[in-house]
Amino acid sequence: MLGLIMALLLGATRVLRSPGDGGGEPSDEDLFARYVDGDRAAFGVLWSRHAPAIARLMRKQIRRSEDVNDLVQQTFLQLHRARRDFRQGARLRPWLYTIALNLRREYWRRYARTPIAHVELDERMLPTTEQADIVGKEDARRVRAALAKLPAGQRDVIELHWLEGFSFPEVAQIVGASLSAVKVRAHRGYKVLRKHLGPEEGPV
Amino acid sequence: MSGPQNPEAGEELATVLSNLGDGAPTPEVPAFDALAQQLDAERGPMAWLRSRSTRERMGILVAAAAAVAVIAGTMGGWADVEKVTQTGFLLELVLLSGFALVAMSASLRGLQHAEIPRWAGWALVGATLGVPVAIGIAPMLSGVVSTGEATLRDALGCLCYGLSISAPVLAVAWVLDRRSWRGSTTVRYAASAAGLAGLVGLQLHCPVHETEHLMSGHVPVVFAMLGTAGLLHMVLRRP
Repeated sequence: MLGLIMALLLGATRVLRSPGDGGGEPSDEDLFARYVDGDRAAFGVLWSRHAPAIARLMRKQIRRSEDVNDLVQQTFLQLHRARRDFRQGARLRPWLYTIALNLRREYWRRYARTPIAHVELDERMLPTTEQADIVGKEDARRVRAALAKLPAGQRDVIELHWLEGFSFPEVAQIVGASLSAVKVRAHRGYKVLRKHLGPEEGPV
Repeated sequence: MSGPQNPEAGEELATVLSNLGDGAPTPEVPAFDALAQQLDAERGPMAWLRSRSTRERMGILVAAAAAVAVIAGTMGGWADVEKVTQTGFLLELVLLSGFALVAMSASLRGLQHAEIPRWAGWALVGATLGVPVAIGIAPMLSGVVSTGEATLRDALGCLCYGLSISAPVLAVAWVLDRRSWRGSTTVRYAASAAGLAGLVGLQLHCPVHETEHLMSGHVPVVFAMLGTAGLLHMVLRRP
């Protein structure tokens, strides 16, 4: 119950933080249009807005911070190179995540290794009471284990949908699958997660 | 809540996932200056070409492939140009050019689009090899008897001629590709496009259309290009 309340509070904070949803901040698309017109500072704003989230996405599978930083820079460099492909009415954030995921895939292909899901959890964000802390750590361990067991396709969908907040049509665009395929992957993924993370049976 | 509500998840799972999403640490990233330096380094003709829109880059690659094929063909004489009206030969050219265009498009696909599914990528490579082989054995199946005039030396000449058309096309595809070929699948598609473009030029140029000669001198062009792609992939993949 405490976790649910925390989640609601944190979710509300995130919604308030969202750029471009009013509040006078320019949207990502406006900033990118300004950059294409030659305003370098606008790209700096996009960097400060999205680079930490892209780094977090990379860190879920890549440990070396130099590699993570390099991939984040590559993501924005590719965004720069693709600037003339951006069309009015399109959304920038799915673009950015598609580039990031493609680069992360290429990274693993380059080293011919299978990625392992390393889902990071900042313990400072967990409830502060000792008991809640233990519960939080245990949750994190269980989630790490459960997510690692999912096939890559299902894991990507769940990460993008739940953790990054993309809608299913946007997830479909990012992973290059049909909407129905994405929903099926999410359904199967959530089913497996529910099995692993649901209330544990047996004597307490 | 970090993501949209999903009835699939259930309350217990929702709580765990929500804590996980918002609890993820915000990693430190380098200052924008580091990226700005990379952006400043994006100068010169190659950077200019790579920053064109995908439609423009595709136009440049198609024009380059056509120009190389025409120049190479003109230099050696268009021996087969009168055959272009023949249905079978026209079909061959349309098939080879069509798959070459698909491969070019795949090789220049921007990273902002989801990756081509693995099965589709391998299907394209399969077609790159299968269509030329089918064209190579077609004369035998239709009863064309080998005259034995074309020697192994002629076959080697044709192979070199085809590769001399393919190599510049591969180089142009590399220049136009925005991503590094290290770990990228685009090298495979670029090699497919280059091999098929070389074969189109060769089919137009060479008057010998016997299975023996086609299989020893023409078809190996695409195999050689894909072999080169595999080699590049292995060499570039090393850290």
